[in-house]
Amino acid sequence: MVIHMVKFGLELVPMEPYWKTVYYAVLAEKLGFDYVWITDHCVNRNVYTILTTIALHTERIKMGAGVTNPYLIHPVVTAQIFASLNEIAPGRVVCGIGPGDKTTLESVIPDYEKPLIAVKEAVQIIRSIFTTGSVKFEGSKFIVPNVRMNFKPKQNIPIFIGAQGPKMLSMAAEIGDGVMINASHPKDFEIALKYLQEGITKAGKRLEDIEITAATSVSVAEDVDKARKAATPIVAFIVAGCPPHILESHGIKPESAQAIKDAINKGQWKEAFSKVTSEMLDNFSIYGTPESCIEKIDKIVKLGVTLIVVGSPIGPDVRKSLMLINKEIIPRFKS
Amino acid sequence: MSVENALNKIPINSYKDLSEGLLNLLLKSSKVDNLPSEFGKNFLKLAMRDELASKEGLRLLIQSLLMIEKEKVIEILNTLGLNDAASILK
Repeated sequence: MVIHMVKFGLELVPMEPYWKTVYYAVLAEKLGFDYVWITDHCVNRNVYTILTTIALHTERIKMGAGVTNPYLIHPVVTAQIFASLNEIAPGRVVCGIGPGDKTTLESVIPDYEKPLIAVKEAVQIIRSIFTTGSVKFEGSKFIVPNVRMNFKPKQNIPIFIGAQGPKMLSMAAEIGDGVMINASHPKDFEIALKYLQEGITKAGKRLEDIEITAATSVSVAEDVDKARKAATPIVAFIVAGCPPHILESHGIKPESAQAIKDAINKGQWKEAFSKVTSEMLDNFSIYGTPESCIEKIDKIVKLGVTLIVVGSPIGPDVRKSLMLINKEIIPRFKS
Repeated sequence: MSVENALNKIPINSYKDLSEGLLNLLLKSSKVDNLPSEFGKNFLKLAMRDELASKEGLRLLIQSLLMIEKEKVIEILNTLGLNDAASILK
């Protein structure tokens, strides 16, 4: 019997008409999810348009950008957006920020660099606005001569930091209220937790002071083959964009990942997906029947993760999979 | 008008199953970009209030889906044994 106090979140990619994404958020609230996260890629529907619409159509669920970046929007404006959103949904807003998706960002801005400094300074600027309503800042990436907002949030807005590499993980634990770790395998969390420990020690915090969030790729269905099939394209993209040291830690040869990447770049989807192995699926997704997903989630939770974010593909039929998660998985982790 | 007539032929105890079928069709349709802009607002209002399986919810789902997936709407109605409603919408 699995009983832990774990929170569940849903990550949605706003690739489809806005009402569909918002509908899944409304459904997530009704199905007992605690959070909804909207990804931020400038090629999709705008994250804040979607979050605002979600705020207007829900009453309980917490929501955030999962995650925004410090490059395309100035941190002062990011703070302004979240403070405004918090007026619509008081106490339900979370500012998620991280280095962003390198591939998408490099297609827009030529000077994508120093992600660690950019995220750190952005968080300092945003937090100052959240807590004092003003900021005067001089960093190496951002200089804010002196700005005083005409309003500030009534509640503190938590800041979650998306992190994958050792330095970002440590820094996220040091300065964030939550850390979003993009991984699905217990081994990755074991490694990540070591770096989180470094950060909290530096900040004089306790591990329980931060929300340790697993941003996972989930595919759940009663039929394991359907779940696997739905997970395969997502895993192909994850493996293709995975840093070599993470591939190596899972015993996956960089050339196998390169072959998938090459096929994706050529638009040869069938070829790319056919190269996804069972080993890759096991390492980069939580897929299968509710029972097998529970087993894997339980392993992650036992390592110290407090918030499980169910991310793409969710399942072969998103609505049915959400209902399955509500019926079979969430109750096993809520006492 | 024909949607209204069709709705009148659907017994209340079929509302839930019909709504499920139409909702699945809507969420899987590749033609939703062709729906009018006011659809999203009306759909979300009903979803928020848990009214997609009400008469108003079915009216919106049927009216909208007839624009993009007419044959499949008829098929769902027939599968659920709602043949009278299906013939009106044909």
